[in-house]
Amino acid sequence: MNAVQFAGWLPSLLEGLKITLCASMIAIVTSIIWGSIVAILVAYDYKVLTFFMRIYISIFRNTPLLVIMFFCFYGLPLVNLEMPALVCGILSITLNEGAFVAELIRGSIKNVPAGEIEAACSLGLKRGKVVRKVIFPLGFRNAVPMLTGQASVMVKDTSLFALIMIVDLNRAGSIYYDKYLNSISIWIVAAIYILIFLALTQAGRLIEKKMMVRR
Amino acid sequence: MEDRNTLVEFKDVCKTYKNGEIVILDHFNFDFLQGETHVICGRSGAGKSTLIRCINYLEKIDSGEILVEGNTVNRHTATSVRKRIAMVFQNFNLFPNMTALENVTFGPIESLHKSKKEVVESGKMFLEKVGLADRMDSKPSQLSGGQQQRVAIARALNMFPDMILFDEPTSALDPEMVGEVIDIMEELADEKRSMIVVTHEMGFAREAAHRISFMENGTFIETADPNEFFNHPKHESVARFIRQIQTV
Repeated sequence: MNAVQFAGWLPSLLEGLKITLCASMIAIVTSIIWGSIVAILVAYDYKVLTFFMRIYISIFRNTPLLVIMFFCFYGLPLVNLEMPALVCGILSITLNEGAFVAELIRGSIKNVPAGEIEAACSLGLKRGKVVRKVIFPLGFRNAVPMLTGQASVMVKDTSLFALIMIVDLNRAGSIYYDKYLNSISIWIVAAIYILIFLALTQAGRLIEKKMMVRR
Repeated sequence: MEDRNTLVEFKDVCKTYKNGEIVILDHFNFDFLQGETHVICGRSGAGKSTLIRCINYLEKIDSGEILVEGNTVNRHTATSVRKRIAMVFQNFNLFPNMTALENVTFGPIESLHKSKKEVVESGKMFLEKVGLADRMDSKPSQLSGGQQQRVAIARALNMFPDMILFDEPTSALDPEMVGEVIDIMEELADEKRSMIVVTHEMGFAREAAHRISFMENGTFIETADPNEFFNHPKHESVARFIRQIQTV
């Protein structure tokens, strides 16, 4: 590897890394928030809303992320809805992963023991409050181990950003390869991804430890 | 006993499971009185738990009417009834993500909308009363079964309820922990709190109950004060039940 070439590439690598990290973090947060809302609406009967959320889940869980991304990036401008590429990317991940997160959390809140729900009811809480204050916090905690796994999927999802003109970590690697036909950059990028996952796993363990409920 | 007001009134209540196959309450009529500790006993599956769970609408009745302080219990009145009638469960059902003190203060803050300061103060007082002053910041998983049930009793007390329902509060406990829970319940009975207690603890019934009812075939086949109930049972099946318990 030529040191001059490498020095010239380094800024774009760092820029790509920054994009990947920021976009991942935002997408993780938005997906989990959106997924939680959908999960609550699906787990408890809110009539029309529940019906639409079920349709949402089945559509967005079964459509490839890349298709959603292309739809947001190339499709929506046709109806005059133009967004910056990065917004399209994060929105697509949120819509796609939000559907998976919703199913994870729905499963977990359905597993909250009936007795704990009865205890909350017997204290005179209204149904909405029982869901928000007791069932959701307990269910969400149950879902944390699965959510940390899903978070690493979301980091990987951002590597598709390259296909909607965003220079993320993955794209930064291939730029160097395209220019100098030297695949060392791909090795470096792969190593950085692995480091990100290791960090994420550790963070996940810490969060799990802090949030897990023992019965 | 005659001057006591009726707190919970069952009027011709029917309750069945599995589309009428299993009859739990069969045209059941009864008045539970204020300031009275009423013990309900009977064989497993007689419907004792279901009976008290109907009072706070954890179970729906098929027909008839249940009145709490004169108000009908139904879907619309359920939350207001539950604010006045607390319940202690067989499996404690504490919130595992909250400390003992948070468990005790959660209800009054979220459902009675009392100020946190006031609720924490009374919560600490009740945790002290049940002997857990030093375990206020412990999570349920760090407490023994007996301690968890005592927290559950403090949680019920902190609602300042008009009545407490006990649904087999000692059945899930190891034998050596039954005493600590029973002691507190006896103390509450002495304070003339209104309580309905479903239990197999005949010692408690003998010591603390004002009236004891024996449930069979969807109704109370016998209701009497402890002395009468244990020494001169009128029904053969009650007498048999008492004999069986005494031989155990």
